[in-house]
Amino acid sequence: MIERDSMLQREKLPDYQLMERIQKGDMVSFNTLVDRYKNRLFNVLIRMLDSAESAEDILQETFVRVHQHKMSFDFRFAVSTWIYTIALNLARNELRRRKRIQFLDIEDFTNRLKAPEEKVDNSSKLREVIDKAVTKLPQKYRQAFVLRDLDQLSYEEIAQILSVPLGTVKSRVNRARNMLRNMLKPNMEELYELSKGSVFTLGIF
Amino acid sequence: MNCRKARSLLSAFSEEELSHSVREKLAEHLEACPSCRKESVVAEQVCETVKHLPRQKLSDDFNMKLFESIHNVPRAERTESVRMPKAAPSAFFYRLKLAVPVISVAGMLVLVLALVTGTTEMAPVDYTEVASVAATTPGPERSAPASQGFHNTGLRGLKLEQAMLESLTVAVSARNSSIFERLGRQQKQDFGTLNSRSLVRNVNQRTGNMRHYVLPNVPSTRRLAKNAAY
Repeated sequence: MIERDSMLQREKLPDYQLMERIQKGDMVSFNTLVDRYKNRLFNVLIRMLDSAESAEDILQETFVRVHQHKMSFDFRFAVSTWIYTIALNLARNELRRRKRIQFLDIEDFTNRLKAPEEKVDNSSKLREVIDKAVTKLPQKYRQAFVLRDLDQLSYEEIAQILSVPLGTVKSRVNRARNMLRNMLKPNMEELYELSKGSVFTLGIF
Repeated sequence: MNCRKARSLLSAFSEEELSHSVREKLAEHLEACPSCRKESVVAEQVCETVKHLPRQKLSDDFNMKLFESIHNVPRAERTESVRMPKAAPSAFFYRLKLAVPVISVAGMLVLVLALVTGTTEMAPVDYTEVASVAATTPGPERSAPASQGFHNTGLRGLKLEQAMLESLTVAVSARNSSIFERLGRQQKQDFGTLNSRSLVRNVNQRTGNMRHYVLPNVPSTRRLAKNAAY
């Protein structure tokens, strides 16, 4: 009962206080921090790596490193920014490693290029197509796009995570959105129909 | 505003990051152009769909596996460091960082070309700039035989010497006139032969090929100015 109370109490603590406790060796606080970020990061990593299995491995490695280097954490930065930075660096390394060992299957490559052009009927399939199209964005645009549109991070935080200027982040997100729209041209009508039933508009019509 | 421009601004439009005037122009265009209007609705729809893409859940035993991994990894393996996030760099330094390899390669190419063609000609010196720098920099006093003249190292020859003399004349007169302005016209004659060794020293430093050019032994500018002030 006491432990349960203590866990609930920790869930309410801000990140930096959890980090202070983790630095003192509190594993329950570490567990709370893991719970706070694991699902968000997992979904970002899936979109980056296009594989749930790799995403889980990278996520595990991320938290191992967070624990391992807890003492070197700089409190001038947000804990979330630090965790995302580690995770994205690991994901980048993984993608680089894959590139080195990848043998391109021409047939598979052609199929992958054709994939977004399949016409779809309903919204769940449409989501699937969008999901696939996101993974086809070039890496640097995808990173910015996923962090902004999927994970809803602020532009400032993304700039810190990716170590690029704020303007560059904005332009990458913009480019990614434009690319995605071009990729989804064949599904334009379905998307338009879907939008009629939704409340999402630009607010000027 | 044309359609192409309008479509490139849709993302910034939805984030409300456009200036008032651009926003108005885009809104006007969207009202007039049905295809761009449709595109903007679709763009927004794509963003919203991405926001609501189904999230996958991690396996339930993730935490357990993580804690096992933390406890099982031998200490010797835990050596790789992690990078702390950095404050976002300014756009200028970021571009400079990107340009460094290009500049390095270009520099190496120039060097290789210079070696291959065997030309060692130096770039022309902006004598006006040399003179202006020299004229504004006071230097240490140093006496040297007035008989010493230009030592022509042969690198640029007589043309250089002539140009240097011209620059020196310009610099000295510029310097004199600024001091006259400060001290008053009546003392102008005291400075009739005003010269500066620092001027020569600066010129020597910048050219590197005329070491012992010393002008006639006259009091330094600083001392003259000091005396005049008394």
